[in-house]
Amino acid sequence: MESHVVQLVQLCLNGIAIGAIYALVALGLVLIYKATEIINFAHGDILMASAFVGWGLITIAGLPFWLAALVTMLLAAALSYVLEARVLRVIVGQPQFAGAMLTLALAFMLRGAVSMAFGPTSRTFPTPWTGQTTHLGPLVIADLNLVILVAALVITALLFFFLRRTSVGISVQAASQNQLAAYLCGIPVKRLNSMVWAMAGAMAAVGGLLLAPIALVDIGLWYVVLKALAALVLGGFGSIPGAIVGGLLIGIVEQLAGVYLPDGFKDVMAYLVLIGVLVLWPRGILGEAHGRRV
Amino acid sequence: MLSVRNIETWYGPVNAIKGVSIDVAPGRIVAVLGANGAGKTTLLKTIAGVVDPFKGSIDFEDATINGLDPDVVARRGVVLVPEGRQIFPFLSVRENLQMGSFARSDKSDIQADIERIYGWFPRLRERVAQHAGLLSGGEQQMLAIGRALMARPKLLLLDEPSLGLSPLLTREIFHIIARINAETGTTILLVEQNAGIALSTAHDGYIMELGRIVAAGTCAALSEKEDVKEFYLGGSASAGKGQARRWKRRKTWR
Ligand SMILES: Nc1ncnc2c1ncn2[C@@H]1O[C@H](COP(=O)(O)OP(=O)(O)OP(=O)(O)O)[C@@H](O)[C@H]1O
Ligand SMILES: [Mg+2]
Repeated sequence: MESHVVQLVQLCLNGIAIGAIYALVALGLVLIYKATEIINFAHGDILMASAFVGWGLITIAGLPFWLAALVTMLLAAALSYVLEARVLRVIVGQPQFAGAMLTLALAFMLRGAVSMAFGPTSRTFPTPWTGQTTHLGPLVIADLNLVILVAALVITALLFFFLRRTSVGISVQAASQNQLAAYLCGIPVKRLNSMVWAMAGAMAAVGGLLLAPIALVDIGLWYVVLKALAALVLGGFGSIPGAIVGGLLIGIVEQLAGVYLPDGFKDVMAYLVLIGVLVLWPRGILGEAHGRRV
Repeated sequence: MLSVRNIETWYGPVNAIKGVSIDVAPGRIVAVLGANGAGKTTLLKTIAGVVDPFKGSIDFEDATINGLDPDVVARRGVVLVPEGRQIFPFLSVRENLQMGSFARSDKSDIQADIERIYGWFPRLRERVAQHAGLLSGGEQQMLAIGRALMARPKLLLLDEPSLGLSPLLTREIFHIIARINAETGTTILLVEQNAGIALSTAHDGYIMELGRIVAAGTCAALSEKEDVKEFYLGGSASAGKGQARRWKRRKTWR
């Protein structure tokens, strides 16, 4: 194979790995939006805080990676659960704008707390796969990227199974389609909403623990929430498959733009593509044609 | 079985219910009639816990249920079919019915119950796998009633089951309501605009106006009252002259 083809494939693979993380974050945002009609701007900061907590558990407390990951997920889930149950529930029934402001405020508070606790320096933590590679013909793939892909696939599959096949999962869909009817069926909607936030929080923690080894443990990690929001709009806001497609696309576009386009395009290109797609398909790629909210 | 004592319900500054008391005895079908805006929907919503009463109390089977969340009230056995076909549009007909039994403690014969509901509403069986949002209005109403029955309610609250249905379908639905009551012994409290069919289906009735109960009794007795005949059954007041009399005559509710 010619070297530039190899490079292209290589870049796409890296892009898919990053994109899988964007997709995970975007999935969390969609879940929260579908359940509570809130866009959680603090989602990226939960991811960022999880990366720091993971770093602390691994390098300071000396826990093995898997145990640290599990504890971090549980902590992020608990934090999200409490945020929904104690803070966001108070503004139920207020305009969506109130929810946006509240989560933005929470985002800044979390960011401030992390920077007070850990200081401004970036760090890294070791994973079982750091520095290892797999050779596939002429391709060299970092094992970390494979792990990211597998983790994202497993989580997405579990999520689909939960939403489509389990009674509790179907009741989550039911509550998002008609909240009054869900209450009247005896579905504990409030507890369900908190549970959905907890699930999204755990997914953000996974995202943080996977992203940190390639992007450093840094306050700036919260920035992925903007990428994930772009992915959501790109894929069609509110669509779960759309979140995945949008995340992967943005990941790939970013990697390609970083190499083939002049400096500075890497961070802008995702949004340029977004604008282009929206001009062509205003609902996004997989947007629901029969929107319930008119 | 259900006893509502002097409830008052407000929507912000709007006083929708101004002191209402009603009783529902086990096994009965009770109808609440009244003009638009009388507060019938508000009464059912208050009983189901969707809105909280400002004053008064609601007792169901010797326990106070006002102030509880609607999902808790539903799990106590008081299940509301709200106004206007509140189904889950993107779930299949089957999943809608399954959601009805979500809070049921014994899940053993859910399949048998689904079959029983298809027996009452055969049209639903033909559309099991279809998204509920794609059903016709009447079919959605049947689905909403069927879903409520999946909870095996002790008391079923129906808000205008005939809303927007053809006269034929209205008769069909009321026929099924009477059958459900007879076959399962489910107590039913229903609100209806179509006074004729409601009075002929139900056992007891209440008449509500501007947030108050103005008449009560068995349906047979209510059907005999002059005021009810004139204002709800479109009886004695004949056309033309009737219009003028409607304005002049004061309702006395004797
Ligand atoms: N959400 C609300 N906010 C403010 N006022 C309300 C609300 N819902 C109902 N009302 C008022 O409360 C009163 C009673 O309304 P309700 O819906 O209970 O009447 P109804 O008897 O069910 O009428 P209909 O037969 O038209 O359904 C009305 O005056 C209405 O304007
Ligand atoms: Mg009404």
